[in-house]
Amino acid sequence: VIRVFSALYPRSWRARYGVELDALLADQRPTPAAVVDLLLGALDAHLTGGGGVSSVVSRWRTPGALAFTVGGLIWFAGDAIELLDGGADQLGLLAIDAARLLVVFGELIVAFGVIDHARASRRGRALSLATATLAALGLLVGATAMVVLVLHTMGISNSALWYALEWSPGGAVVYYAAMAVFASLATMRNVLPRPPLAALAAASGGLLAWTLLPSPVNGIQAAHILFITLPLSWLLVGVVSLVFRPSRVEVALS
Amino acid sequence: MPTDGLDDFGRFEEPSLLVLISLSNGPKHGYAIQTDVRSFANVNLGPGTLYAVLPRLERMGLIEALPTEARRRPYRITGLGASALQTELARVQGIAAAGIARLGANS
Repeated sequence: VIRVFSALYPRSWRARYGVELDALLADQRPTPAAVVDLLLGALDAHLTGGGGVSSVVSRWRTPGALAFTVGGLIWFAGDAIELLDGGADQLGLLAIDAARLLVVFGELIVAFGVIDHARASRRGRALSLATATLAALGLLVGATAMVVLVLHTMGISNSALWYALEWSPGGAVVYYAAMAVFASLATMRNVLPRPPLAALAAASGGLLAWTLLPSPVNGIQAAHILFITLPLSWLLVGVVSLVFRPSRVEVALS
Repeated sequence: MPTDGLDDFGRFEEPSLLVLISLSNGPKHGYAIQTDVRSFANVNLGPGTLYAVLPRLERMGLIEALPTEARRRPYRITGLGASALQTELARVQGIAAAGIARLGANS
C-alpha cells in the first residue's frame, strides 16, 4: 500500500531513485508515521528537484536571465526615449512598462534562488528571508502600479493611483528601495559569493552613461535614474551570471 | 566543495550526519542504513527522510552509489564525505564537551 505514495515523487526523481525506494518500502511495515514521512519527502522532492536545489531555479534560470537582460535593455531604452522627447509621447513609457514585465520575471527567478538558499542553509537564513520579503514588497508595489497604469490607459482608473504608487515618496521608496536592497543582498550573498566588482562597476557605469548621455537631465531625474540603474545593474550582473556560474547553493551541492 | 561539515543541509543536517556515520564502516543500502541508525542512535529514519538525504549527500559528493544488487542500491562514503563527517563530529564533540563541563561546574 505504502508504495502507492512513492508514485507522488516527481517523474525525473523516480527515474533515478524510484526502484530503490520501492525496494526499501517493500522491506518495512506501512506505519502512519512512514506514510507522512513519505508524503513530506515527495513534497521536498517537488520543491527542490530532489537534490536540494529548486527545480524552479534550475529550469527557469536561462529564460529568466534572458528576460531580465532583454527587459533591462528595453527599460533603459525607454528611459532614454522619455528623456529625449521630454515625455511628448507615450512610446518611452510603454517601452518601460512592457520591459518591466520581463524584468519582474527575471527578478522572480532570483527571488526563488534566495528562498532556496534560506531553506537550505542555517547561516544567513534571516537575511535571505528578509531580502525575499523586500523583493515581494517591491514586486507587489511595482505590479500593482503596472495594473493601474493599464487600467488608466483603458480609461478605467485615473492616473492618481499610479502616480501615488510609482512616484510618490511612499510608493517610490517601497518599490525602489526594496528592489535596491534586494538586488544588492541577493547578488552579494546568494548568486555571487565573490562578486566581480569590476564587472559590477562597468555595468553600473555603462548603464548610467547610456541613460544619462542622451540629453541633459535635472537633479530629480538624475537621482531617479541613479536609483533605478544601480540596483538593476547589480541584478543584471547577478542574473546573467546565474547562466554561466552555478549559484552558491548549487556549488555546495555539486 | 564542502569543508565545513554539514551546514548547508538545513533541517536535514542531523539525518545526514546519521547516514554518514552509518556508512563510515562500509557500504549499505537504504534498509540497512535504517536498521543501523536505529541500532546505534535509536532514531527511526523514515523512508521520505532517508531519500531526501541520500540525493543531497550524493550531489555533494559525500557519498556515492554502487551498482544495484537485487533492486537495492548500496551507497558508500567518499573521502570528501569522511572529511565532512570528521569536521561535523568534532563540532558536535565540542558542543557536548562544553555542555558537560558547564553541568559539572554547576553541580
